[in-house]
Amino acid sequence: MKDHWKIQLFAAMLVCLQSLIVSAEDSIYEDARDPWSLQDKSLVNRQLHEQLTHPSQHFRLDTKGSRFAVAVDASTGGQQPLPGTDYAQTRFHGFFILDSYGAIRLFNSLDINLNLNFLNPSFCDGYHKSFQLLAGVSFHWKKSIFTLKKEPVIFHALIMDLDSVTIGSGLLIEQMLLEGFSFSLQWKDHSLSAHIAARVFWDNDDFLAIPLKLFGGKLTLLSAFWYFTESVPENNNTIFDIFRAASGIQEVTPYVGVSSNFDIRNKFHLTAEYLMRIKNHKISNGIMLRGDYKEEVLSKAQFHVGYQFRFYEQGFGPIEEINQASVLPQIPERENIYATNSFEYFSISPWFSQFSHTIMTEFALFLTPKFQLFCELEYWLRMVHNKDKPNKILYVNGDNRAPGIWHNVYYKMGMKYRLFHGLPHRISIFVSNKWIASDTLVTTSSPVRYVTDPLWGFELEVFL
Amino acid sequence: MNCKVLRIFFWGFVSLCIAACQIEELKPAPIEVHYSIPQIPPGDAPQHMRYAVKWIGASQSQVTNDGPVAQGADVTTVHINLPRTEVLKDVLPIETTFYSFSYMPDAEIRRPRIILYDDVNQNQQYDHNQDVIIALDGFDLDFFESIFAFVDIDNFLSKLNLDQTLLYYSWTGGNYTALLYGEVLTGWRSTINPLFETEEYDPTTYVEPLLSLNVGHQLLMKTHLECFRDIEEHNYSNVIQVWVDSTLDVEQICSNTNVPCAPFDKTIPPNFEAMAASTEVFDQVCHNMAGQYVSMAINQGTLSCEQCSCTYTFDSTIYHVSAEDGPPVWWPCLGEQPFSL
Repeated sequence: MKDHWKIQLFAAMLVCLQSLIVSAEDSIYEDARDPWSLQDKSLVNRQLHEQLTHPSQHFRLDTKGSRFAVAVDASTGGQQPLPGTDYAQTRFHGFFILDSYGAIRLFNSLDINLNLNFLNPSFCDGYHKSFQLLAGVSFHWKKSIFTLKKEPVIFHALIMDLDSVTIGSGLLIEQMLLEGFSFSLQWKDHSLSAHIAARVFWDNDDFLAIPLKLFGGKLTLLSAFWYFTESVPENNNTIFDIFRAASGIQEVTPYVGVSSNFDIRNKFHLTAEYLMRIKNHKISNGIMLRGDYKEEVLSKAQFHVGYQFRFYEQGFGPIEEINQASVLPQIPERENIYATNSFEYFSISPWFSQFSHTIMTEFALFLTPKFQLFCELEYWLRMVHNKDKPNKILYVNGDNRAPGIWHNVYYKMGMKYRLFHGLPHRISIFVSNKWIASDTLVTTSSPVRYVTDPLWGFELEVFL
Repeated sequence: MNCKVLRIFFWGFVSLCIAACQIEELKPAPIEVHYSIPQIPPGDAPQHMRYAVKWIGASQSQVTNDGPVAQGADVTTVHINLPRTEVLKDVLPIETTFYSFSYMPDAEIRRPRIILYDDVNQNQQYDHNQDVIIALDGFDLDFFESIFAFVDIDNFLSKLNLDQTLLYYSWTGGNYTALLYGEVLTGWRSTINPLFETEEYDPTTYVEPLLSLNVGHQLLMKTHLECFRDIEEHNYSNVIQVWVDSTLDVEQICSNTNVPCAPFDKTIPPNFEAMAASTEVFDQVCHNMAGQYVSMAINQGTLSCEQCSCTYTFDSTIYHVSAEDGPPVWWPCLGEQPFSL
């Protein structure tokens, strides 16, 4: 009774906080694009009709009332060393990219989406020689299947191309291009989902996440399972082992935890995630905290500043022994996500605990209606140490010695000039030290995401 | 209650960050190697046998480890540490190609000398001028196992991807060390072949090194050390006397040679022990000559070395006996080599 007033105050604060929070309207199913970063964002391969009718996409081809929707992001440009420097040009030293999206909507509930990404990273290789085509198809079925308390329960099924995927706040998987299946039941702003993805960070892995999102993601209870098909258990004597053997899955790393996500007045954003890995009678912990602030000044200037903390306890990653993770595809649009990513922590997780602090900031200013200056900075401090592997060191990407403290700064700054008033078609010229590290084929999985040499880039981009 | 939780969370976060900042710089570990000791006759066993690990450079040298060797031991354990960086860089390099493990990058590598010696002056450290060398690592061999050191192990590791790093740790038994062992393939200017079989990370495949030391002529071993293993060896033979069994046609046989030639009585054996004691190198070589004669050469040699060029000078005495009668009982090669009569 003595603390009754405290409980009332706390309840009042919650109500007050709730009034400040703008419900995050998740118009695109499981949209993993970072809404706080000012980095460029591409379309996703689902719900193209909804994306193209959004006011921010007014320049797209008109699809209203049509079963068909088409969009194209075309760009050409290069990534070259600055004059007087000895750095090598990147694989995308003279490229074109024609990233096209098409969708057919059937019965107002089934979308068949096709993403065809035509690209040639190097015209220097010979006439049409390095042309590549990345194709992704997604079937998206969205159907109200019954009502509960006068509210529809909506079923989503998304098959094959999941596009960019983030699980929870991103402690395990953040903005990774994946294929697989996703199913969800939504009621009001609550949902229960299952996301199944293949080939996440290793050639032999699969991933299953089952998030229960409550209040539009303000609270998410998350369980996840990372599967591997390599090492064979010695004793196949339990029902579970027999099932695993029959399914070809030999190793499962389970996670359980909780995440929370708050957007306040569309300016502030707070997210937190805690997961524990429970395996072999051992618990390892992972924590992620992130805060963002975004502001727009007189429609001419925008800036975003954010901070994130990550802690991956030794052994938290899904693998039991050091094993190099890799990602694909390696295409320039992947430069528009932060370098700070769970991918960077897991390869060495069996030996090392890792803390990191990251400050992210972007700034964009229209000097004239057509001429824009922009700057993106990311400072990433990682502290890597080992408790029970005291006699081992290793190097990550040639520079970062573990155990140790690593400082990495990524930048991209330059100018964009819009070719037509009110339309986003533009020419950009910029310097950066975050360039996609692509092999000859962009679908060759790469253990290193970025070339970090200071180079300059130029691009002509057209959006249809 | 809520404040307490927040406080715990805040200070937990701060302490985690502080703990993470306290990261100690790890140094490469020394290596422990077992060396088999060559068999020494009990009467010849030195009283003060020790080992020394010496890094011999062009302008400077350093003995990093020196320790006693137990009397009668078959194997001794040698602890090897890296020398000072400037000494390590000065040590004669070994060309490395890792030709059978081409996925490993090249690296600068050096090799120490392991010296088993008799501490004659009993100062408990190897003295090149006074102490007597008993055996050396890799002496007089073109193919042997050895310890070697990466000049800059971190530079090497920084060139490895994670899979290669795991192979490195399989190679070292899970230790961060610049001292590894492998096969030396071509003598003094060597390639090193890493001694591990697996291409998967498995530190249990690590085998504790058991290497061998080799004996040789004292002067040759010392020159081997001084000349960074780079010795030119020459042989020079000089026939000084021919002895012919007096029952044979001495005059006819001696007519074929320009050196002093005379009959001898095969019933009186020569004093081989005295001959052996009077020279540095003594050996006996027997031949069957075209079915008519059996011959034997007694080679009494001396060794001299100058500027990494060593020459054996042999004075030979040749004995001829009749093949039909067979060699006498004192004939030294009788038990070792069948004669076709």
